[in-house]
Amino acid sequence: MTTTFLQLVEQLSPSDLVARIQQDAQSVGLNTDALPRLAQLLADHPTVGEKVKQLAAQADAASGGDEITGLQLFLSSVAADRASIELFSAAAMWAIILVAGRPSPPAPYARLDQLMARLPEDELPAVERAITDPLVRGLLNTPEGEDPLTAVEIAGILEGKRDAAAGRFRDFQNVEDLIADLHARAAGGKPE
Amino acid sequence: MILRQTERFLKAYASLTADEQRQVDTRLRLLAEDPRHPSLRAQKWAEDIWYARASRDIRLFYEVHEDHYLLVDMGHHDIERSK
Repeated sequence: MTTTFLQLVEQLSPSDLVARIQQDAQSVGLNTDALPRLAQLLADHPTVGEKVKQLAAQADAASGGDEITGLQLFLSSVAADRASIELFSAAAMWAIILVAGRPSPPAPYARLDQLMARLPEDELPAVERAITDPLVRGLLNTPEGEDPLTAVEIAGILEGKRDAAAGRFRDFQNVEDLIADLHARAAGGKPE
Repeated sequence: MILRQTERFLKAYASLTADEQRQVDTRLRLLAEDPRHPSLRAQKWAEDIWYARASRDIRLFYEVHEDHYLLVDMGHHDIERSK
């Protein structure tokens, strides 16, 4: 794959961006209900597109040209920039599509060996991510009949994991203390 | 077992109605008491992410660690309502 994430962003107008996400999302059975809101957001706020390009350029420069790495960095920077949840959700959806849309090897090891031997070296980071990233593995391994995560749920999980990594959490030994804290802080407005 | 509440979890909780919050409270008590309680309908979604159902369409996402549960997020399994 030779197209970097930045090139993809630069090539697409806001309407094409939404259409591309919709097409790819539907091809892998993801929920596209957020797309009308994303389209409206881009139409109402033209500067959002410029902000996306700015963040994508920074991610692209730091990724060494790898599309998946660039997209991961982009998602992190979008989140850090407190961009809208719609935009973040769409980007998260795209990240999953890029990985999940690639051919996944069958289980037999002989077949895996054959595939590995033919695998271009620049595809290795994406394959490694598909194998090791718990969110991507979860998406690929969701049992039949079980609803997959939506893009909003994925974005929420990533935000929660970032909170934990950054120390934005409270510990409770007793569940009643936890519930009391949730009630008090939820009623009191925004988290501290 | 320590229950570790993230800011994201709190924000999601605050967005629920009072009735929905009560449903979540019930599930949190069950989780603390017995993470394998059948009412939770807990599923291991990925290597470190579990989810339990608080209602027909509200799912709680958490991680199970050696000494704590990390309460990561919750919300409606419905992209429009969870915004």
